Amino acid sequence: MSKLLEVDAVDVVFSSGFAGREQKRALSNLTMTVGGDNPGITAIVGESGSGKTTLIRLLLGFQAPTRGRVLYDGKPVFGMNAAGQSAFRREVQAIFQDPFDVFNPFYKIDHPLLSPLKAFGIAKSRDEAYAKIEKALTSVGLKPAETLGRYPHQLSGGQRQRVMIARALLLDPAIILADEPVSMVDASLRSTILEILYGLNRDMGISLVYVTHDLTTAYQVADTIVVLHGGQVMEVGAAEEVIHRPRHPYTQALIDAVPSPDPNKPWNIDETGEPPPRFIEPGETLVLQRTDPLRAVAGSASAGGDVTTVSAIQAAVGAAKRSAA
Amino acid sequence: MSEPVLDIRNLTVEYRTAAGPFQAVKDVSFSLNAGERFGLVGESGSGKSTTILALMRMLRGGYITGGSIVLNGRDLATVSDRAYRTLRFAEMSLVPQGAMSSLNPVLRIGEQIGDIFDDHGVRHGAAERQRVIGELLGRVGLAASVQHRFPHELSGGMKQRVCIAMSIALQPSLILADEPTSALDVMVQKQVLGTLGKVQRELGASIILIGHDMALMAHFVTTLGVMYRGELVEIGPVKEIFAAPKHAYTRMLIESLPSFDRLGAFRGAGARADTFLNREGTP
Repeated sequence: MSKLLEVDAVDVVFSSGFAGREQKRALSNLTMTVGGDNPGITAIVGESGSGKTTLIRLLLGFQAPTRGRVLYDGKPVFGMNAAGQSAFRREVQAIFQDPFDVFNPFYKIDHPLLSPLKAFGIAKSRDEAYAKIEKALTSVGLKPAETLGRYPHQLSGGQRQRVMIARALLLDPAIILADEPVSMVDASLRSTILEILYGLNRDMGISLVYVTHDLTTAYQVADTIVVLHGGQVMEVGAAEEVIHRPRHPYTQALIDAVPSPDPNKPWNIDETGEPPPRFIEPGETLVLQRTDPLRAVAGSASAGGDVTTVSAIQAAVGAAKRSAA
Repeated sequence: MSEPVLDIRNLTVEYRTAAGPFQAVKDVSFSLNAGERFGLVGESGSGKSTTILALMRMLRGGYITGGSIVLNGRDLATVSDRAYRTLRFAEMSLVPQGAMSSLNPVLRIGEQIGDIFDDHGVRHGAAERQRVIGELLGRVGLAASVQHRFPHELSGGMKQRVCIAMSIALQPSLILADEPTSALDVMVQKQVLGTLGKVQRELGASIILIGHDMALMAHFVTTLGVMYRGELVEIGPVKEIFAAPKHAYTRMLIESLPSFDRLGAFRGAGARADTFLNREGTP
């Protein structure tokens, strides 16, 4: 029985200005689930300012919810006791956007790989630790002999990002949260990294949250795509449905903004120049309405309909995937 | 007028390193006609940015060791550093990669654009200067009032547009754009590229767009050059290159493009990228 990381009806509001009078709602009424017995890949897609990073910080327990709860194994993530904290920090791993910033340039690559093993007391001896490290590096397609003993600046961006994935794997995690893991990696190496992430879910049963602004890569790896805009979920559904039959105009706008790799397919680049239309009125809170078995779209709360949550759609997509397999 | 705007012949650029000279750009030749859109793609470290910096004479620690650059019929090697200052922005301008860090945080947008005019001896009265800058901002889709704002008050896409406005302030015949959209997300990227294309067309200027996103290139440029390890390995009309890439690296770049037509199965493209780079000895 794998543990669940649950976001339950969460709002995150940032206050600024005199006595917190200026309020900015970064996330609004979000309910979603990661992990459990049904490991899947959920992609969170959105522009800058959509709340993607706030969501990752929330899932990692770095950000307290203003309303609602974030639970891991039934216990609140924010303000957990030491034992719970230790298990959480081991079982939930993160991979960040910038493969250059996360390394301390004064330490060899070995250091960030050894220290988590020490911190959690996973390896009993140095030899055992190195055996584990070599296994993890090999599983992400790196040659240990060419990686260990080097300094971060001697590796390329793609190699460093793979070292970070190996570091996450060392701790045998149940959940990996990846925040834009390929956006700073060269185009030709992106698919290598994505393939590794995809393999983690398929072969090791690790649940993934893949946060990105790139719909194409989300479509390549994810089971469920969540489209976030202005802190609210615009559309959620099976990847195939959301990409090929988008129902919300914002999802359609996002898809239209992606250039096709075929130079003969028109992209209408010269027509744009005006700002896109507004998809949410200021102060408006939308609810998710289920339109298909595997999909929900944002609508106004007064419209009624079958109101649902991201969690429910994730579960439905997971169930459909299992019955297809 | 059949003379090219820019003609680069056998350009070679070296950096001096502790391990001896390193050739970052090797024997690169290409030329641009008026109004042409040229794309330069390649991995980080392939020499594309170095080529552009050599053009602008903004290399840090690098030296042009061979070849010639001719802009509007003038050999740039004969141009003094002082004259180069006048030439930048007036004949050739750069839209930098990180608009976030290219604007001075303590000057209002209008003052920074005004500096370009002042440095090039263009004089305006205060009211006229405001009007000129307002018009300039209007051409890139920004409100004239943006000139009274500070960079931190603008979004990433707006800052990038300010940089485009600055690059066209003196109506150059060549615009160099170094990954102008790589820090922006998809929606804003499309708007900014649209803006860049529009002002380039209105000006009749040529443009060199640098990047590693082949899909963007496919839709923006007419001619494409592919750089790999300092060499220009392939050059030609963008549609021909996409239809029949000749160099293995170009083929790999095109095949590794993500698209909506291809699901989860990775078709081994990633693995191919890896073995290709390893075989060629890239670290």
